[in-house]
Amino acid sequence: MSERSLFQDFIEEGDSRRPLLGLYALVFLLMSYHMLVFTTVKVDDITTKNDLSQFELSFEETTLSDADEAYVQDQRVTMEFEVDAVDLAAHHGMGLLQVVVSYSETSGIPFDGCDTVTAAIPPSGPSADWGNMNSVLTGTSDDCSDIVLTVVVFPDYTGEMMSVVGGEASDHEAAWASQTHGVGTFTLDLDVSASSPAPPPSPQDDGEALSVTWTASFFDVNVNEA
Amino acid sequence: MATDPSSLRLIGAILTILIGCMALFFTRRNENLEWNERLAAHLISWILIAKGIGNTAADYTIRFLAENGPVEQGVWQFGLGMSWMLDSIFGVGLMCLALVFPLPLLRTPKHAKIAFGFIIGFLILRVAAQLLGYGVTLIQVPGLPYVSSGLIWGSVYVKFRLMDEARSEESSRNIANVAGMLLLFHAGHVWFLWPGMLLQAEYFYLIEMYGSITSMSVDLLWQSAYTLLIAVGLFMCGVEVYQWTKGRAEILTYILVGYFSIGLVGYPILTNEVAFWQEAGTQNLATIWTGLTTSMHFNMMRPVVMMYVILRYGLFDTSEDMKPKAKLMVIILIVIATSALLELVQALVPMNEMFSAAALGVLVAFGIGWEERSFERLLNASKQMRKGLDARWFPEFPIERKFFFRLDRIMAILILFFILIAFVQWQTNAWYDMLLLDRGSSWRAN
Repeated sequence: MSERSLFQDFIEEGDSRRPLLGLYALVFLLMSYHMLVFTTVKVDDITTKNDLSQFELSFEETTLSDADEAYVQDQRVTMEFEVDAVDLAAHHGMGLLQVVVSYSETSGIPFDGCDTVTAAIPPSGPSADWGNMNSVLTGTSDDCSDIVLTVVVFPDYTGEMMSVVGGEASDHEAAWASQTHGVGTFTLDLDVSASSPAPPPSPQDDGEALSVTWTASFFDVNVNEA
Repeated sequence: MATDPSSLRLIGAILTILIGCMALFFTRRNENLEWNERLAAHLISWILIAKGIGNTAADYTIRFLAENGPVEQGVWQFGLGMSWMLDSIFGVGLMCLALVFPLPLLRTPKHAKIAFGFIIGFLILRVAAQLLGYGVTLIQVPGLPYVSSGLIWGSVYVKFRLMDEARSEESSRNIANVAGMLLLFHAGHVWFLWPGMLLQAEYFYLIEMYGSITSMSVDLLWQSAYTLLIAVGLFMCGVEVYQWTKGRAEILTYILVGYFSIGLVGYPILTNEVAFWQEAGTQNLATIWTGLTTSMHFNMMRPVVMMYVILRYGLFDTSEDMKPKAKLMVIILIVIATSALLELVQALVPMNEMFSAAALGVLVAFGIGWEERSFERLLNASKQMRKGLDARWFPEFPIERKFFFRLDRIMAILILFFILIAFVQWQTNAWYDMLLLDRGSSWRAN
């Protein structure tokens, strides 16, 4: 057994004494430097490194409109509106499709009131958020007021500004971009139930002229870190 | 043939386990080892086996979390628990190894009892903290194994690399090389980070142990341990360059200069886009770089460095009787390591399969060719670590052979026991709960 301690053997003799002290000095110096940087210089970056970023998402809308007219008697009429991939290509996605059905009493028969018009968009064809609570797929009017139908095409799209937390800006931009939702042919079924002021042989109302305006809203999303 | 970083991690893990088992097989039969070398050989074997199993679990966890996130009751908790528990064996094993190899620092039985008692207590503390649901916290003293091996092997290296005595030149050079190689094994991946530490880069200061589940105080302690290793590594690199200028370069010289140079090249890459070790992949330049450096160290360099130390410094039984078996095992390892190297390249640089198959053939042939030429040279190289040195550096301990067989049994049981604990943690949702607890008690929240 040695009578000298390990410490003595390492530090107190030989050519390597000074290099060893140099090693410990460098260790002390760099560890002090690290402590200083960690607790003062970089402390803000370090304390916030796991904080989630907040982003404001706003939508710039561009609309594409089309109009149809039809004279509908006591049978169903179907109209179509087609969205091409080309229409969508310049935008991040298609947000909404709005359909306005307008009509007035045109029979010219005295005391003839407004007919009953029913409009419906069947939930088939293009990919859309058909089940969204804001989608209005059917409507009826018997007082010549407009029937307004809305299809939320891009899931959860409202067109209003929103705030999201976490992720990266590119993640949100990707989440709000689709070249598939809305592409295809939407259909609109129209029914008219004509009513006359008196039974035959008085003049009878046999139908109604309807005008339909289709408005597709395309959007571009802007993501800004709050 | 697999082509992603996950497969590389798995190959690295298998390689590590294989070398551990192989080392155990050959060292148990080696009659020519001093007490500290025998203890070191057994420790190295179990360190490698535990780390290999832990790395397999870590790979599974990384893949699961990337796909599903930290879901409640998720099997990721089993993987994370295993990885954490077996990493304790790795860390504690290296602490014990540093105390006995290449230079036994324990000079009396009393020293041994105090030192090993402290280390066993540290292991029990870590496990108890886990079982009590404290998560990864300060009381587990994260980074202590790094501090221990950095200070001990760093000191041994400097002491003996600069010992200028002709009669002990061979021994002191071998001791310094072993200390340097073992520190490279443990801390090589940290040395890539040195410019980030000095230049206050995010890729160093935002390092988090185990993803984002640790508190700032734990991260500070962990990074402090890294800083210590960087300081020791920089000093060693300086010493090696000095020795190089004096015409006394060793393999370690080139490796150290290579590691620190790679770290410098990585600085502009990683400052543009931070990528941590678990993010190695092909997503961007930073993750590719991480795959080629940190991942490469974990999966390739660690097993290869340890195999080199085991072979070069005579921990294997390479008697004429055992030599053919040793050679066969080494050839198998060379083939696996060579194919793993190609895996790494193929994972990061897409290439034609015909080309990669041909490249594999060439690399394997090269690997075996290297082995043929180098095996004898390695075995015949000087293993002397005591010649010319004062006897006080190598105190004798009367340790019976049966102690080592008991050690093997205990280590095997310990690994199984830790896997069982990890299983229970998964079943009781412990990691999920600890993760939330740990975040709640972070420095930031205070």
